[in-house]
Amino acid sequence: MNQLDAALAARSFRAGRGVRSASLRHRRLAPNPLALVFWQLGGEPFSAAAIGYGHKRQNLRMVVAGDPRNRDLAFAALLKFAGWFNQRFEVAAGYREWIQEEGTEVSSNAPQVIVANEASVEMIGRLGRRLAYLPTDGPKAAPPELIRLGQHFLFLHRHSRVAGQQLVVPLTDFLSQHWVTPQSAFEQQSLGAFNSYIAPPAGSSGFHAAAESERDSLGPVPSGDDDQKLEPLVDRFNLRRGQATDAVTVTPLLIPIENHYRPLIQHTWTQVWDCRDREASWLEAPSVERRWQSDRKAYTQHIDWTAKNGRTRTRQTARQAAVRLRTLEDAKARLQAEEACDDPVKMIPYILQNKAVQGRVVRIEADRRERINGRMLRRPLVTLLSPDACLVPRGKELWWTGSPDGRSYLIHDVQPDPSGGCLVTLKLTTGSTATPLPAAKSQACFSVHTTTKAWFANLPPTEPWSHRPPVGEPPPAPIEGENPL
Amino acid sequence: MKTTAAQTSYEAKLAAIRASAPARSPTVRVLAAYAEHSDCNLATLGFAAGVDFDRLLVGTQYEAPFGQSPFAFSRGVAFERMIAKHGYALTLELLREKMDFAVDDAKIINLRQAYQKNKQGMQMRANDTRTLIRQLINGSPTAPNLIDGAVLQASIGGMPAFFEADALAARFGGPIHAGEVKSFPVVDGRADRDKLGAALDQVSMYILFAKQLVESIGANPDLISPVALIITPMNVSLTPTLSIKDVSKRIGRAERLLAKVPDVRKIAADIPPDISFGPIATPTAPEASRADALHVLADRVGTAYSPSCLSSCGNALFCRGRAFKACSPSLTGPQAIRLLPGVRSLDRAAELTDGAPPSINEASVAPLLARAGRLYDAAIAGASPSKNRRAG
Amino acid sequence: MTPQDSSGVYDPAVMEAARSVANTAIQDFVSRSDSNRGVVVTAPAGSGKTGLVVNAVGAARRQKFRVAVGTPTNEQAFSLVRRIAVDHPGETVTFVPASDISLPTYASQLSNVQQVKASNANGAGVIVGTLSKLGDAFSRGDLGEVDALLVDESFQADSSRYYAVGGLARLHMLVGDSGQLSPFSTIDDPDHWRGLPEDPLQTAVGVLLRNHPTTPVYKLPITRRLDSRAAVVAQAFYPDLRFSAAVMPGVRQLRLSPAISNEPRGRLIDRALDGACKNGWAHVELPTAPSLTADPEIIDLIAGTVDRLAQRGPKTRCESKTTWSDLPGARVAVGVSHNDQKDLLRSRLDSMGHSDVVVETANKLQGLEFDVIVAWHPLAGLPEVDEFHLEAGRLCVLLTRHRHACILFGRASDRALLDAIPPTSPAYLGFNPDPVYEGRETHESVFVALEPHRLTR
Repeated sequence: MNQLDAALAARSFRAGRGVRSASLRHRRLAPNPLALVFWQLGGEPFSAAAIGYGHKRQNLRMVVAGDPRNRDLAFAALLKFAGWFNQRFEVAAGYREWIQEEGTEVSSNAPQVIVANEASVEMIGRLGRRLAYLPTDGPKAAPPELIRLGQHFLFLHRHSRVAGQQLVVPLTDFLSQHWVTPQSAFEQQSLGAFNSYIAPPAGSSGFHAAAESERDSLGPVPSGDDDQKLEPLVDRFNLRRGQATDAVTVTPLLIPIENHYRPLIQHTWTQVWDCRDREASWLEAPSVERRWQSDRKAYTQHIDWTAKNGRTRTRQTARQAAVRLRTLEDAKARLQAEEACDDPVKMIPYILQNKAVQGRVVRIEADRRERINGRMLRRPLVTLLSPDACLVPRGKELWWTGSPDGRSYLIHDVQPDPSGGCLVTLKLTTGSTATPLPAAKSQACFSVHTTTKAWFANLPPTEPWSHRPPVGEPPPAPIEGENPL
Repeated sequence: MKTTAAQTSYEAKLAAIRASAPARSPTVRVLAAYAEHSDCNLATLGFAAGVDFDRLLVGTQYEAPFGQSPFAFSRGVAFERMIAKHGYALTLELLREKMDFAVDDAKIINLRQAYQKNKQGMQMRANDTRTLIRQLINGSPTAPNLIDGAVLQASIGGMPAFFEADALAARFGGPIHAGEVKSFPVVDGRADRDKLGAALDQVSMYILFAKQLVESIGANPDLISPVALIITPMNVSLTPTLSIKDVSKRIGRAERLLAKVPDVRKIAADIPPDISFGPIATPTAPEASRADALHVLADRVGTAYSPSCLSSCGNALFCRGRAFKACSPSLTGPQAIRLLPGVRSLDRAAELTDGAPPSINEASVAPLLARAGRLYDAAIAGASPSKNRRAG
Repeated sequence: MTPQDSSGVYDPAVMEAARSVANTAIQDFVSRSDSNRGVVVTAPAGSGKTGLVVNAVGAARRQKFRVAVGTPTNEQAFSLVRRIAVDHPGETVTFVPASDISLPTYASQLSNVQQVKASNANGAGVIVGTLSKLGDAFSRGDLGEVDALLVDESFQADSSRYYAVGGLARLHMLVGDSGQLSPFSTIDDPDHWRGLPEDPLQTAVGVLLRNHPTTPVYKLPITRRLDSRAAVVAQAFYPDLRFSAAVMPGVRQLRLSPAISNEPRGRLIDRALDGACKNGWAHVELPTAPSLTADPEIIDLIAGTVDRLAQRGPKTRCESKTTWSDLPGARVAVGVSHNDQKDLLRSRLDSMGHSDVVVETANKLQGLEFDVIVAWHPLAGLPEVDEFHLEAGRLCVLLTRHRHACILFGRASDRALLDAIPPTSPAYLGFNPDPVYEGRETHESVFVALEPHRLTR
């Protein structure tokens, strides 16, 4: 939490509703996303007891397993879901375009999965882990559709860690990037409570509307009460089916369980679409396109890898982890830079932390020269009148938000101004006439944010002896082990 | 344990404070929750009087949503059955593989089955545990290698209490390890970090109590190992795996926690005689009067709300409502408190963001809030809503 | 600064113990013939680690080994280039710079120093660079294998940086200070890999020992920067490494002109300065009060202390400067934990005419040395503790920079924070340290050690 968050939380409290922490929308919200709602059994992290899904609000589909602790029943439900999901997830990979700066072909579009909360993303990860490594042959061979679903889910879960990514969007996380309420991070994990605080119904305050919404769990973990209602239904289901798991026997017996889950799924579904539709109406930030392109590239690589029957390891090698660390650091740095340069509200925390300065351009010396290494070189100066004191130290390197991937400026001089603010003079570090300068009398902002891609050192392809254990690691244990039921 | 007159009197006093409110005795889970709220006087009073806050407000709008899923319960039961199957075969195999247990180190005692689940039963189990530990320390060849359901007796703030450890294990001649059985899985060498941390904190308590037991029989407490055992399912199935962690530092924390638990005799002596949780718990009373009674109690003893209470205290919704009414920055959390020093309410903080003149206490933070407010208003005005939102 | 053992300013037993450990470690490093092995040397702050690295380079060269020396930052690399070149005038020291980096003159002007591209460094006897640069050059094939690799500051280097250079040699020597700040990352969940062998954020020493647990670890039992008054407190940061100060008590002396202040704030500052002169420490404890991270009262006192120090004409005397000499502003530093604390202090000190006094966060002060440091306690004014603030490394850096004196500022509530039961902390399989609990214990030990030097208003 920073000073701006605290200020906005106070204002939000006073207003009784949410306050925007961004003037733009910093994540793409695709027009026909794959919306997913999950319900597990309490205490059973790998169970998908019910899944709600669809790509249009009006078209909610549902599948229940009956008793997901039974492998056959669980897989039957997941297979039905996979039949819908896989095709829609993979279709975008059929249309490619050449991207110059990537030097490769990338899918023109990519699927977007939306879920209510981060716990749903974790659920996707667990299901992915369970399904992607199922045996492809032998007595317990799993259908390839299911394995592919697992691979897609594993990819989405892995990709979710990339800051600013948009292939799998947990809406609570999305909201926390754009809204401030007085709620704690824990409370904001309830999409219903967060939505209600942002936009309470007429006549109600955010606090009370949120407290009401909070009572309903939106999944994947059910409330104890809901599971208490479910338990006798599952018991009766198991009794009536005996040992049977075939569709003909089981399908009619599922009806009471479907009736149990339908309102639960519908409730989450409504929250998801209300949120998505409300947020989609905000104007998209310019840099979203660059990040979406990056997402499309990752998606394309994933599809191509799985099409080659490539498997990913359950654990990373030291090299993979090192590369991953750099990828994640780079993504976060670029996201922060892009958001701040796109959106003046997002820049405010940096101004408050002396990492940016803004004001009106009062003087430009475009043709000023100085002696460098014996030659007279052009080094323009730009002076801002900032309404506040400037604590950014002399010599600090900053970039103009109007050209964040361009050349930098250095703080040249800071002088107090009789108006109470200060005059900040910045020196451009190049003489090139191609470099744009801010316009006189315009509002300009200079910050530590540059959006150029950072340089990363290469890593050698083979593991050095220092990182290699003397005895090899045992191969990963089969995910399933003994069947519990 | 013989009861003295003084004991009866403070026990009676605490019972009077608890009155008809639902009761609970201190388990390690209750102790762990108390650790999160040791600065809250209401939580401390409830802890000392043995009031179950999770059930205190049942039937009101403040009812805590802590119900357990029956599926979680049956998973736990199924896992415990798996561990005990065929004479604890899988468990012993894990102990052999990872803790150097010899093939002969296979004597198991199950104390859960031996007695009833009541106070007398716990006392008997505690006595048996004591005897068995003595045997282990003396190197008796008939000493067990695994005790399922050992019970350790300890004094918590002056109150005697029984604690049930899932497992105490020792190979012949080796140190005694405490272990817990949990249903969350270990997947690819990783476990949920918060659940693992909580489980290790629990075992650390048992290790501490076991050390106290060993000391009380005149032996060296270092015979209880600081290496904790956690038995969990591995990956998707219920096949057990064993995770091993040195918890020396957590044992230190457990010691500090126990030292901080207030002496219940002192609480009983200090609390005025009319304080009682009864009117709050009465299910037939109207909700408003129950809530009022809790307000009165909270006003008298004091509370310390923070959003972290929501996941560990049954009174949290009630206290959150109070924080809301008081416009307290605690509503948003400790980070907000850090950023708003000297500002007594969120409303006041909002005024300061509008540039309101500060009081002396607010002088350090007021300029920062005013600046934040000014910058925000300018940024929003520059990017007006009509420009940013498309139709629909 | 070469220590003269016979002058009586150094404790011969301490010097001998350190010499013995260093020699054994270096011998171990250069004499074994089997490959794929390493040697670790841990040392407390100010131990003269770099001197050990330089000696190890010499020993390796005598065996005709080709040697590469890597370190996390450019500044550390520059400093190594100079030290090696000065101590081994017969050796050519080859620096391999990153693309926009060049050696400063204090290093490049030496006649036995050269700066070349990686592909031109093959065949050189002594190669120095940052771990990133050496690793990048090695993986591109520009830089070939050498016989021995030395890594300085290897508790600061993370596993992924070490990965890059590991293949450069079959023989490694890792030297570092375990007390200072560990590698960290700004990503949202840096603990994702914690406990797993592939964790890229574990230290270089950590990953080597994890994969090769029989690697010998030598502990250098000496500090040259800190005197015995400071070492007593610093010992709290090194529970597994006992060490002593090289310099005899009384050799380090700081003198100020007498002070007569007629108001409470001035008197408090003067008492702190007098205490620091006499005992090497002063811990100024303000009353508990709710405060921002950039606590204005502490800013005022720290700036006032620096100013008052200058006003009182500070002079020092020590083992290398045996006559009284003025203490220049550049040998004084202010150490903080947060950037806003730094920004405000920088601005205040500049306006008071003290632009030469260094003001930095602990991160940036790692590895640097000063005569006097004024430090802002990491826990100051916090309502509750967390892993970041409890991290012992931060406090260690702040309290081990000084040769003469350290004045620490905080509030009474800082210590009270430690009385609270530490929050329950997450746990990771395969990762044994408990940074929250251990940090708490270390902080507590430091408070106890500083008790004799505590001042209140």
